[in-house]
Amino acid sequence: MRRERFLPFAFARHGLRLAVSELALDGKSLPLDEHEVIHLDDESWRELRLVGAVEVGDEALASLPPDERGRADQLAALWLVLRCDRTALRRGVPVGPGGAGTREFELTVPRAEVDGPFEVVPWLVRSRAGAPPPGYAASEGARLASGPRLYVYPHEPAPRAGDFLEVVYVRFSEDAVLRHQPWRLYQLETHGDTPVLRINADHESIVRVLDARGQTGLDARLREVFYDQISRGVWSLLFTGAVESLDSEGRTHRPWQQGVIRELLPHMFPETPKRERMHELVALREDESHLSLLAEKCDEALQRRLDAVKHMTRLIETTVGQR
Amino acid sequence: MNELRRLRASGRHLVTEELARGTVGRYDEAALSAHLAPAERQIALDGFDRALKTTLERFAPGDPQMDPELAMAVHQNLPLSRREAADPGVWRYLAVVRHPEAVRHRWEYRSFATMRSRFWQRGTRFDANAFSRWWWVAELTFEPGAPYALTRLALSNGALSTHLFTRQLAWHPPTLAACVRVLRDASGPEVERTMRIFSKMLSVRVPEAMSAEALEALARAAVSRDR
Repeated sequence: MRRERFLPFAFARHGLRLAVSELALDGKSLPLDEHEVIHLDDESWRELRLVGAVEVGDEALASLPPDERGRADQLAALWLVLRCDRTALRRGVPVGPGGAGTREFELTVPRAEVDGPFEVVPWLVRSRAGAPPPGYAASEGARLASGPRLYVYPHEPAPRAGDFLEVVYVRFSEDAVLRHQPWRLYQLETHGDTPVLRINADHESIVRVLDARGQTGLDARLREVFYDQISRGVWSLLFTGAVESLDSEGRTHRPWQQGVIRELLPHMFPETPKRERMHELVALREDESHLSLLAEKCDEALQRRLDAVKHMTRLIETTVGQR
Repeated sequence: MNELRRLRASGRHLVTEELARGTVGRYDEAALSAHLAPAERQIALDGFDRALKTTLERFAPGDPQMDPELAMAVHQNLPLSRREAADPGVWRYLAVVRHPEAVRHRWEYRSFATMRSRFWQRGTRFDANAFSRWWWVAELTFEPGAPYALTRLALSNGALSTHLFTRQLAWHPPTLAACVRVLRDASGPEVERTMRIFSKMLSVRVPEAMSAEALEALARAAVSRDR
């Protein structure tokens, strides 16, 4: 995790908005499903091209003193910084002058320069030193504003839990066995060729949220958090079952077990080359003293994959907005 | 086998005190097949082996002046992309399997923990895998106009290379160049204090958005503030 500093002068941490409008691998356009995170196939590309725009709003320009804001185009500049930890890559790409408005950019990243996840961060900086009043940045290169960074993961999109699962709603009160466990929200069965997740339909208000279809509003935000809660438990159980079935060569008894492991491995060992990840997992599983480390890795992987922080934050923002 | 290979994570147990001390000179590579894998691309090692041997022969054991020469020899003779060089398996193969004598020639055995790190740990820290450090320092300091001039300067000052290559500011070529040009002849304590001040100065700036001249001026300001 990178540490954030509180700066000794005006700085708009969320003053910029970076939007990607086009993604192409080796000249071939790909659909964009998400705008803050991009997943790519690990092996099959040589050059990534991103086209998009960065928006500089009033909040960002408020980091300049009032008498300089009208000259932001001369005093500030907009940059993108590309970073990849595993290849020690730090590269700046100038986007344009820093005045209000939207600036388009085009970014090309050769595959040979990156390995593992990399990020693109928008920055508005002071391009010329000055003598502003106290509380404002004066030096060349000083930070004025930033915005949400774009993450690019060089592996395939995460399949939804449903790809490995059959999900059914059951009134536990009507089931001969489950009726004795009315407190249960769900029950997972992993014995067959496809695991079955039974969600207790007796909890009608929860089911209503889980079934909500909208993309905005309180129900959508609650749905994300509820799904995270259930997914966390279910994925942990699926993972434990899959790891139990692993042999020393990394093979599993059933295809779903292989699917679950393949899905979580990149999140468990993001610093390890793809071909080494299964070795690492088998080594951890085979040493009893490492079981807590295995559980920790699984927890890290799920936190990384489920994006619970984003979903909880959105829920808080939505509920605060409705107060 | 005269091609670059990778040592898998499963070969960690091969880094023993005996290997670090030289009681075991070198493992029989043919017996290690379970822990070895091909590199991502075929890269012949004949030239690399020759350049390494010639360079090692020019220096007495433990002489730190061999660092810049070895960095150049390793980088020139291993044409890897950064993506390929990010794989710790290739560096572990070179240090643990192919040329453990180079690690022992460069560093006298003082503690197993540090020596183990010099065989295994990826990165550019002073105690990282020796080949990884030599290659990556040369890569980060390579300037097309004057190849390896900056490499020589950076590695000729032990304190500078120690404090520089443990920081992510060394990933940005103009920032790295500014540090090396300003601190090339500085003493250990001066390097340590200046690097701390310079890092703090950069933490409120975006060095990627600064000119080489502005970065060098900032590094000089850090030296002045240190005094």
